Amino acid sequence: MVSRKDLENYIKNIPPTPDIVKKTIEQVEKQELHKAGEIAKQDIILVKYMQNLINKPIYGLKNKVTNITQIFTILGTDLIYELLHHYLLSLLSPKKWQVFDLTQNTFNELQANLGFYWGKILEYENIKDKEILSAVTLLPTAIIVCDELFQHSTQELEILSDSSIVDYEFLLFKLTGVHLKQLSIKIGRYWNFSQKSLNIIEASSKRNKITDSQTIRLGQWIHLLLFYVLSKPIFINTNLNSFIKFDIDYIQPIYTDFEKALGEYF
Amino acid sequence: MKPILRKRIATFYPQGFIDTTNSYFIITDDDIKKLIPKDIRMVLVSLKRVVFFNINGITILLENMKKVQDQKKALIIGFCDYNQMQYETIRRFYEKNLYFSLYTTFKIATLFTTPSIAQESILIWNENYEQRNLQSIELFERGYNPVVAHRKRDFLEHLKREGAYDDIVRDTYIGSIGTVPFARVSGSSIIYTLTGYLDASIDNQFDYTYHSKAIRTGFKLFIFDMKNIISMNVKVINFFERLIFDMKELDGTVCVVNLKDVSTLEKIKLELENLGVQIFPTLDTLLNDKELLTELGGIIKENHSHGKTVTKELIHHLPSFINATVSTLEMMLGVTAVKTGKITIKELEVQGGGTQKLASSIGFYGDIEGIIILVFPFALAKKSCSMMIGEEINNLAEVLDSLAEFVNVIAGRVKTHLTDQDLGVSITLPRTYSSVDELLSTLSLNKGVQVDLNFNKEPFTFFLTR
Repeated sequence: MVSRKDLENYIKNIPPTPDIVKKTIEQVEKQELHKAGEIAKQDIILVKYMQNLINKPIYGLKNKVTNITQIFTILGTDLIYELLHHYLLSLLSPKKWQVFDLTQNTFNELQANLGFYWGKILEYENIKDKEILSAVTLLPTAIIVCDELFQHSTQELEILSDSSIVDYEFLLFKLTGVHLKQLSIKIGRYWNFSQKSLNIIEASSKRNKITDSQTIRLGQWIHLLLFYVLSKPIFINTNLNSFIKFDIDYIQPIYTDFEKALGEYF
Repeated sequence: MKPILRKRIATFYPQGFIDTTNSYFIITDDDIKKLIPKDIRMVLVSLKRVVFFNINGITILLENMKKVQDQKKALIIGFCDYNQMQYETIRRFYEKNLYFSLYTTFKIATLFTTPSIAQESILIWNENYEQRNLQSIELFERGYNPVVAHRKRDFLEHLKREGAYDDIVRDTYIGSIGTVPFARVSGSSIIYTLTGYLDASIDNQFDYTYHSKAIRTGFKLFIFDMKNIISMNVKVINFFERLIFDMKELDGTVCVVNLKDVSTLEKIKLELENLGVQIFPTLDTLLNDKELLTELGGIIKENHSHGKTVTKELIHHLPSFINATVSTLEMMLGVTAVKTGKITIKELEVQGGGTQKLASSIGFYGDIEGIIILVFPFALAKKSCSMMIGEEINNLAEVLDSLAEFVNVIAGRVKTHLTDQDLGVSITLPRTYSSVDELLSTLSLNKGVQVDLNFNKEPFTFFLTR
């Protein structure tokens, strides 16, 4: 199905961060949102992506915003920083999804949902840190990677799925000896994601090397959040709901706070 | 969502949250269509990786599983892989109408669909004795060696015996017992509990077929408990008028209890009394007054003998009836049944007279209809019932009470057997008789199929008629 060599080839072919995105991020880090908007304007795909994502109903903007510099100033540094990282990830997403029943639009919807609810969780946890905010953008990496790596094995997957739940995390590890989240972290590192956000991804499942209690707690939140979003009707029949195992025991310490964190959005 | 098919069970494995918004997408119409032609015995939803569910989400899943069940009569539907809290929550959600099954794990569910390979020893514990016995019979029939704990403390003791059991069945519920949720029996009366707002829709809530079968089984007193009624309108009077008219020749009595004492119902109360409906403030007022009860619910002659006798179809399914009865008794008594004499069609004839014997009857109706009558010597009934509830029973009243439950278990088994053969039947509540004479004076029995059996030298009679 998938060999270690396929995996290495895939990693080799990951595109570098586009120059415009890199420069935009640098300006956002300096809090120069207007300048950042001006640079972003040069990448028409980035502009379209931002316009599309920010006007999704989940963000609740009363009026449609299309002007890119206006988008930058309305949303503020942290959110723009997060959206730019979402954009980076979307560049990696396949043109045609083969394993999961996704389209570019549903994938963007997934990113928007994860981003929105992650923001609510961090508000609840009283965390204002753009690096932590951007950690959520790495979550869908695992989905993209699975679709790319297993795209030529859909028939085998179909047969497998008759008699057992296809757990891509398990499959990938058995076939290549690499964990899915290690891949996400590798990609994140390649794209200069902060160590903080990479640690949260590392803590997003029970088996991790993290010792810091806050990072573990954020890892638990992000694990629960992923399955909260994947339980939404739009994603149930995309094969995503069961693509990796949901670990109920792992999220127990934070579960009772979940409803409070999401408040009216639960 | 695609279900996993293993061991004749189709299992859906949703992860995360189940609520109104997503449950329609967990089991879709397309999934239902694909499942109908499959050779499956169960459709289950695993709750192993579900962290949250609400009653609406669960109800929608059940409705969709039921669509498959409607096309495959013998199909069992329900949930598996839950924890203690999820089990209790679901039991609470469906307290009054738990019509589906619950299996602690998928592996436990497979015990109820696949035969035993090596007579595995299975420990069973359930607070409800009807459930624990039904479960043990189901497993026994598949070749397992079930060991039933009749008390929690016994169960905990059994658990200490490391490696003594291959599997432990607990927090499991079989939802196929065919009792009618809106009716229950108390002595020789039937209590119907209606709910909500009563208007012309009462016809939808009331099971007329069940009621007429109950009349034919010999019940005379019908009590309508209105405690769950929010309000009602005059259309209810038409319903009671029809009911009383239908029962006129049968000398039956209709009572209403727990009717709210509000001025808006005064007129309805008056009209009901004029029709001949007896109104009592509470159920206890009626049930605790033995004299009044006897006066209202004296034994009547059963009125089904319009030349109806056993049909070819009924005889064709006789093995289902015999198997269910014999396997239940064999399981309870731990002895093998020996057939004495020929299977014959005749009037009920009990060897050695009927005074020292107890009897019970239960009716079934639907694709086929009839009445099962079982006649036990007192000692055999006492032993079977003691085994079922796990306590020594001594007096006649206790034996008769438990015998009703016992017959209900047998009828539940018959129902399952028939369902396996694509026949849908409902069963009435069971009745017991302290002697064969009482049975004969209550039911005017036609000829039927009689099977005489012997359990450890104790004679037992099975009689099937219409």
